[in-house]
Amino acid sequence: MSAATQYYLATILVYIAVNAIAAWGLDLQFGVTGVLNFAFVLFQAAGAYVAAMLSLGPSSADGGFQRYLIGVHLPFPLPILGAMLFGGVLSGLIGLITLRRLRSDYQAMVMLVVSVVATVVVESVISLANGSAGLSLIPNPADGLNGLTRQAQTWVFVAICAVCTLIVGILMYALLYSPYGRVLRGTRENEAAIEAMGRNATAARMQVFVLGGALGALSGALLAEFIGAWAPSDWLYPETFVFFTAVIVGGRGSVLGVAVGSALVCVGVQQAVQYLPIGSDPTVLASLEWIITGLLTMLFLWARPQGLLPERRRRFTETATQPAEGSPGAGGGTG
Amino acid sequence: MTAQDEPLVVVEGLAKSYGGVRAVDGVSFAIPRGSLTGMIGPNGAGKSTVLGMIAGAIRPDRGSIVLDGREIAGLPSHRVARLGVIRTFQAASVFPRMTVLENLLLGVPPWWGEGIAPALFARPRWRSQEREQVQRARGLLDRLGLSSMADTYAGQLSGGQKRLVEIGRAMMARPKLLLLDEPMAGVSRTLAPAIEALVAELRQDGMTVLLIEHELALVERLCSPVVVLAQGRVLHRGEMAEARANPEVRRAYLVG
Repeated sequence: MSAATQYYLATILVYIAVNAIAAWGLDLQFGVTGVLNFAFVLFQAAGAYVAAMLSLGPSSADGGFQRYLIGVHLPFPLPILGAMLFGGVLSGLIGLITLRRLRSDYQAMVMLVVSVVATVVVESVISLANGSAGLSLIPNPADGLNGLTRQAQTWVFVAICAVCTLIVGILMYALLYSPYGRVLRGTRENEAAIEAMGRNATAARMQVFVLGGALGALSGALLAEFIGAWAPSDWLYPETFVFFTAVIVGGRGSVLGVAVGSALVCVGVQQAVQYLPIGSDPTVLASLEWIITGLLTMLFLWARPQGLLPERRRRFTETATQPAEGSPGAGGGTG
Repeated sequence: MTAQDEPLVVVEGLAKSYGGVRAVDGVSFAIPRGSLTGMIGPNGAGKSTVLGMIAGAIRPDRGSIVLDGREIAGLPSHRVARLGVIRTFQAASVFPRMTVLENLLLGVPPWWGEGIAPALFARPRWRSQEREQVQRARGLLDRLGLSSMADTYAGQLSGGQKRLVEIGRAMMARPKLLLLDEPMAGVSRTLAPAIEALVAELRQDGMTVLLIEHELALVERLCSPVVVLAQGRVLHRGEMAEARANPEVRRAYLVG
């Protein structure tokens, strides 16, 4: 395989991994618990910036051509963990303001505004993260590995992304197929009823807000380290709706479905338009991507709202451990 | 204060206005322990508002609600539910895209297995406890005649079946006080007797129930005592037979 092919393949794999992690974060909020977080991409951005600030070193480096906060050089995986922590805390703070008093449709509107405001703030306050120019030269944790070729380093990073995706995927299954997941789905299905059964719906929403924010930040951290750069144009508010489309197309509340959906929508659509016989004008291709993404959302909401791989029905199968006296026996499944 | 002859709930001077309309205007009554107390009244009398205030879903403007010696007026509904007050809704309120069995499992009062940490780290422990809950839920489904529907999404059931699921979910909680808001509403003629029998059984089990209903015959068969509301005020407290004889009650029903 040529170096170019290898790099292309590695890039696709990293994007699939990163988008799966982000889409799972949104799925936890929107698909499972029913929180309309229209500022999701903001948490991906927060993770990307923090990972950059924690790995770039002091801003005077490289002739001080870019300005940003913090500016330390921490070893892998601390920048990524720091990014997740910050994403979760930021989520929690925004959640405290938006999730407690507002009805869910108003929460959605406020989050959309939060996303737009955040872009304006980061663009205007240059000392925060270098304004609209964004940050560049963000180190890749695999770059420092001695004795490895450039290609091998790329594959090391692919492996890091794969491990992260695997861990998050397992955590998603553990959360969703548990009594905790049952309460989250109950919050989505009927807020008045879940409250009437003694569960605090607002607390449940806050928790998935924080968890989803941390996952969004993880995806952003990995993405920024892979690309090596991160700027406001990477996280404009419409990007959030690409993740929504991924969750809707894949299947709200379905772990595997959302992974498939994010691969198709976040990576597949972009790749597919390149092969269409419409030339290679980047503006046209980008517009076409948005058109296809929007059409996919409408098509699925209309024709297959449950998505490609719908949320699995939880069954409680009887176990054979106690062949009891004609009674139904014990349930072996999980909720 | 929790002696057996003390009422389980004492409501005093409860009031709620909506933009100048006094939906509930100084309502006082008691729910004796182990009773099936009925609350009747014409449409718009304020019955559901009173129930909503006891359940914590509606914040009262004034008044007190004392449960077992503890003031609960104004607490949010999840806190009230944790104190053992479980309600049903006027329109049967299930979790539609969850199975009937899961609906019942959410009736189990909040427990440690529902945390994030147990979901991630204590799977074997919560699973064994959940297994017992599933067994109990299946037993209850047998009693409700819904065994064959255990794995059906609750949203696909008929109105009456949803009502049974809702009452079953409430029974899973083993409530101190069960609030039933017109349990016959939206129920077919074939299922209505089953639900009536179930409510009667609950009383025999010793559960304290407040039943809101506008069909007087049903209340007469099941409830003692009854509270009659009209236009946000209590017209009568006592037995149904006395209520029927009360000219004010008659007038309210004729006018309402």
